[in-house]
Amino acid sequence: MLKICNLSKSTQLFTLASLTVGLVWLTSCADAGKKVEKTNQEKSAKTEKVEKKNSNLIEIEGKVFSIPSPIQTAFLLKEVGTDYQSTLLNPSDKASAYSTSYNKALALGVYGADLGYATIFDQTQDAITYMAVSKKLASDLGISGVFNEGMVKRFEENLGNQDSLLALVADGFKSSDRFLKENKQHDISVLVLAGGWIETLHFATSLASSTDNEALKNRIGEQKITIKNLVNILSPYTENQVIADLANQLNELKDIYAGVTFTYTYIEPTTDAESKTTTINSKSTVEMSDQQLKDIAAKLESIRNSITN
Amino acid sequence: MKRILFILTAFLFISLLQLNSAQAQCDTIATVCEQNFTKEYLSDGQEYRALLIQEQTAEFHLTLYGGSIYRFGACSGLDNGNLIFRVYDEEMNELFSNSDFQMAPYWDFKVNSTLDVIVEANLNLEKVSSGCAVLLVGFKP
Repeated sequence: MLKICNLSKSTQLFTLASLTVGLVWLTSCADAGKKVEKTNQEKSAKTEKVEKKNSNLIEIEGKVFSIPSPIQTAFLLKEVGTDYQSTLLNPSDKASAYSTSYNKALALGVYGADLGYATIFDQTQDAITYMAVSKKLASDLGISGVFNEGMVKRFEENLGNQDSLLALVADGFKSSDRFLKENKQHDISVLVLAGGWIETLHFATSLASSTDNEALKNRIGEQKITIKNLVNILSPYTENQVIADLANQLNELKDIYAGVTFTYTYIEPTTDAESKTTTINSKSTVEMSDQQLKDIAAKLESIRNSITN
Repeated sequence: MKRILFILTAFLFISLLQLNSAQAQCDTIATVCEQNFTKEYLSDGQEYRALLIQEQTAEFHLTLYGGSIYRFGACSGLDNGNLIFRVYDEEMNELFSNSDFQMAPYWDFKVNSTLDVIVEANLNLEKVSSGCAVLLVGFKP
């Protein structure tokens, strides 16, 4: 990263010019640089191996970690046989109450997860309602070019075709992510991701107690690895009080997750070149007690209440 | 002094133009890279980009859920084969490298158990020396 930002020239003139250009670079890289500094402190020994292997290492968008799509866990909820529960959704009439861009971004993530959940369970009316709410919040955030009338129209035209609806929702959020990053609104972008993750885990923890399904409990336990990524994503923006408060709460949830045991065992993968597919055979297991599940659910509800009320 | 200021301003202007150009280049590459995703794959809702020069490495971390099939698309420039990408598990065991498969621009991963992976991407220096690297992730519902 430093090599990119610190260009030098031999002549005085070009040194001056280079310093100025370097200043531009530094301005653009400053945010990423902060992230690298912070995340370096948090890196595990395993990740340090990556740095040692390549001293020219830089990180995508200054070390952006990925959060799994909320749609994936919503699919699991359907697969394990849970019934659709509209009471789990954040009421759509709350949308107008979110006043700041940070609150709107979190709400957009929450409503996006609600939209995915309703779509997967073929709840047409709720899906239309939550698409409209997402459109409003996106418009308020200046992302109206993505969630616009055309998208709502396509959504309505494809009602009954779940594959097309889900593709529209997923592409809509990808386009929003692209727009926000292009416009240097990374803090807004990560809040949308955070809101979606919190809402999806809210679905899972709410339903886990009533279904006693092992796959669902495992998915909740597996969030032990995702919450680390989520906290890392938020950490560069904690100068903002909304994000700082959220990060603190998520850190408390992470502390509860520390008691959950996630075990990973490497097994050599197998690759089929013809189908361009690699099967990752490694095994992982989750050990989580009922009390830990209750504690996670309680903390998660507290966090969700703080961002939706 | 005026001459210096003029050159400085021109230099700054060109630099800013180059940054904007790089951004536009990333947009185009992202659009091209999306062609690797058929309708059966849903986007994970995020897009990953990095401007790479020479031997620099881009890296990102993600969680893959067990029982899922993912597609990674990795592109740079408008042609296939410009980007080398490797997938590691959290212990840095290499799970895949597209350099073993003619720098394939996309690859599918069938995941048996949930794990964290690290994806590293480098430019194929035989074809390009700098450019925007775009990584996209999709999954099969």
